[in-house]
Amino acid sequence: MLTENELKRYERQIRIFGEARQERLKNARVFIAGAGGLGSPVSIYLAAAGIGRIRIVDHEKVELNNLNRQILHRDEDTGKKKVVSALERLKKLNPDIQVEAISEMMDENNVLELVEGFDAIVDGLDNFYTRYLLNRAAIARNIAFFHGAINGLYGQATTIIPGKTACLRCIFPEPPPPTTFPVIGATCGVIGCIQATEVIKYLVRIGSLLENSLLLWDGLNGKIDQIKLERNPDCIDCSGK
Amino acid sequence: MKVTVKLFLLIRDALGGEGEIEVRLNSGATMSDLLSTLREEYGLPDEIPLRRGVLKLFEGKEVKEMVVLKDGRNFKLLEGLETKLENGAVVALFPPLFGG
Repeated sequence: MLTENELKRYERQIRIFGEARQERLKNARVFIAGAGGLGSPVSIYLAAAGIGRIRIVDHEKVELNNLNRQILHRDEDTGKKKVVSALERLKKLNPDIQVEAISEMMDENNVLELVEGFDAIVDGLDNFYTRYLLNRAAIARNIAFFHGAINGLYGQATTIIPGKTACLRCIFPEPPPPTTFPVIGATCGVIGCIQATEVIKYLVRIGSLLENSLLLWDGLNGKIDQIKLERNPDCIDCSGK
Repeated sequence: MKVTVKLFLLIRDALGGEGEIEVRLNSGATMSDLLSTLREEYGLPDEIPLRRGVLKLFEGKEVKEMVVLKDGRNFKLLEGLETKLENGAVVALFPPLFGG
């Protein structure tokens, strides 16, 4: 049941999909890997939409050069753990939801435990090594995985449904070499918002998802494209699952 | 045979903004043949200069910092440069993105 406060808070989106679907968001649990460039807009918009429980994981501290894009954090947060400002910001944005912010580095020893019981996993990571861990965890636990990545004014997003769509390894069998990347903050906003939209659509079951479709955002030229994807039947991460 | 090549992001810009090219190839042509044709006849560069550094598309014949999909499948998961192409195949080229 939605409270009087919730009916008011979410009134504009309830107009789109109705109270029953808003309750689905209230009962949903979303895991967000990273409280950085992508994690910031994703978590903000999912909190604003009323996702009942959000877990956000990041082991890093806020640095000054994060602040052109990581809008969960402010100047006064530099030097502190990102999860501290993430928790504060999201709880102030929406006190009605549960937010759990965990300062941990994700690895093969903890990733399954971290994502256990969640309905959706959002990729807010900055390297493919950890993305592959999350990809495998999503497949192992049969949890929808919302991939995003950016560089400069470019971004990409796709929605991975284990057992149904190409997984991350099907599309990108090898990681690009890890390095720092240039980025205009708004690019993170575009892709993070696309990811948040996909999560909401998935949870309330409306519209069509970026399943087997890689959306490419070219912010430099104002173009959006989609590339069709195919599963790899011999994928080392998802074949036969 | 004819193969459609779709270019995205700064690889599209490197070829003057052309997003889609129809390339004629001999029957039995491979991905290697297509990439050679794109380099020799369409100006696909070996590397694209960035403000800092370069995006290295090729190192010799090897594809480096470029994602190549044939009909939605990564060519490295097919037969790599020896992947056979068919009439009507769609090949997508774009740079790898990994930030977040």
